[in-house]
Amino acid sequence: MELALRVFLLVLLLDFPLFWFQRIPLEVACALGLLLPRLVRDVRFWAVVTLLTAWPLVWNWPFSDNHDYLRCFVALAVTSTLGAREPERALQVSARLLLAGTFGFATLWKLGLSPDFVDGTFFRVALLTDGRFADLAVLAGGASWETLDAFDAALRSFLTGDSADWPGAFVEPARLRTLALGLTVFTGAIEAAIAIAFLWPRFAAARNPLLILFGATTFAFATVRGFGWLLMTLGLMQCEREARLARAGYLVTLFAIEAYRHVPWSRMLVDALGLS
Amino acid sequence: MSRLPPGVEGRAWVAPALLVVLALAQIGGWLAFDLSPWKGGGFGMFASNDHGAFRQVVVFEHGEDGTRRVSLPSELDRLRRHVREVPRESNLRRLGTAVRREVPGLGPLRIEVFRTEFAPSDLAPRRVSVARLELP
Repeated sequence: MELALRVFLLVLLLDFPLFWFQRIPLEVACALGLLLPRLVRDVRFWAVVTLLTAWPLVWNWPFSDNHDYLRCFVALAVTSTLGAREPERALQVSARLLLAGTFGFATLWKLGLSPDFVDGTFFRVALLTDGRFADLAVLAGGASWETLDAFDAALRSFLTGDSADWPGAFVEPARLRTLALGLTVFTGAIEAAIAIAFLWPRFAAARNPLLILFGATTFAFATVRGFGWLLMTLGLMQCEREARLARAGYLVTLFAIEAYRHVPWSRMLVDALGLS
Repeated sequence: MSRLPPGVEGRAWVAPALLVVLALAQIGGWLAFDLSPWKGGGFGMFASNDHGAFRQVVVFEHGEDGTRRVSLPSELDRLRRHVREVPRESNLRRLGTAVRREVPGLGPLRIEVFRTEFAPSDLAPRRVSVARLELP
């Protein structure tokens, strides 16, 4: 539990809110928590941390991202369980339910509420327009940089102009469609599986492998560092004490998520394969 | 999940219960007034192309020569983005009032928020109106 709480403080210290007046108090609190180990078990300290993660959600409404909310929920989970008779056990349960809720609602949105996800359109458009997926589109989708630029320019012109015209000459590479379909199936399946595994004790054995697999694969491209870190921290929090391999897996994946963001590995691969 | 001593379960449920309440409220906001699926704590990110980058807030002025698009001053950018993510009528009205304040002399206005839908066949985009307000 101590390790998970310290990792959470480190995550809060490094993945802070946008505005300086929200960031600095949280950074000071987290630094104090890391420097003064007795604070890590102090419920009053965590109540302050919870408030420092909660008020930006109100101040920044509606611009906060989902991991900003999750950050606050994790802090609240720590605050509310530290006073329990068995705080470690209570935090494990809380972390498991937070993971189940996060992936449950993510799955509901993807498979239940968003027709453009289910039919593959979301990933087809994301691969062509979201810079984070550009290397993947070139590496595995058979797209050229010219294709990406042409689609982007046409879409930009459509979005900023008054005209409803769309140049119908755009040709989507066939492999890109296949890649988008693969990503749709993989993402929908793994998120649903994680939600089910964390909700039903019957599938408990699959929890850690699935969540680590999700962290190690998804954040290699979707470099939403803060969200990935929080998921790995929650994974760490819900781990049984004897699950040493899983705990190591969460820590390694947490650092891998940071490496994904800073090491341009996919661009190096693009260059090495002569696709640049 | 192991059985817990009495009192512990309740504490363990506090944060997850809040997550569920907020996520359901976000879905309610999406159903009621087209709150962006990506915002509001409902975990709808990476699920839909209906997000800020593909939404537009457009202010039209109805004049004697027809309808023209009003370019919004940069001072209203935060409010414009707010309207884009939460296109409630009250927010559209607030934007209209602010536009009139920043750009004096405007005639009747129409404020409209569009999202972008992509055709599954060829990804051709089209604008879909999600909210609209006429201000005389």
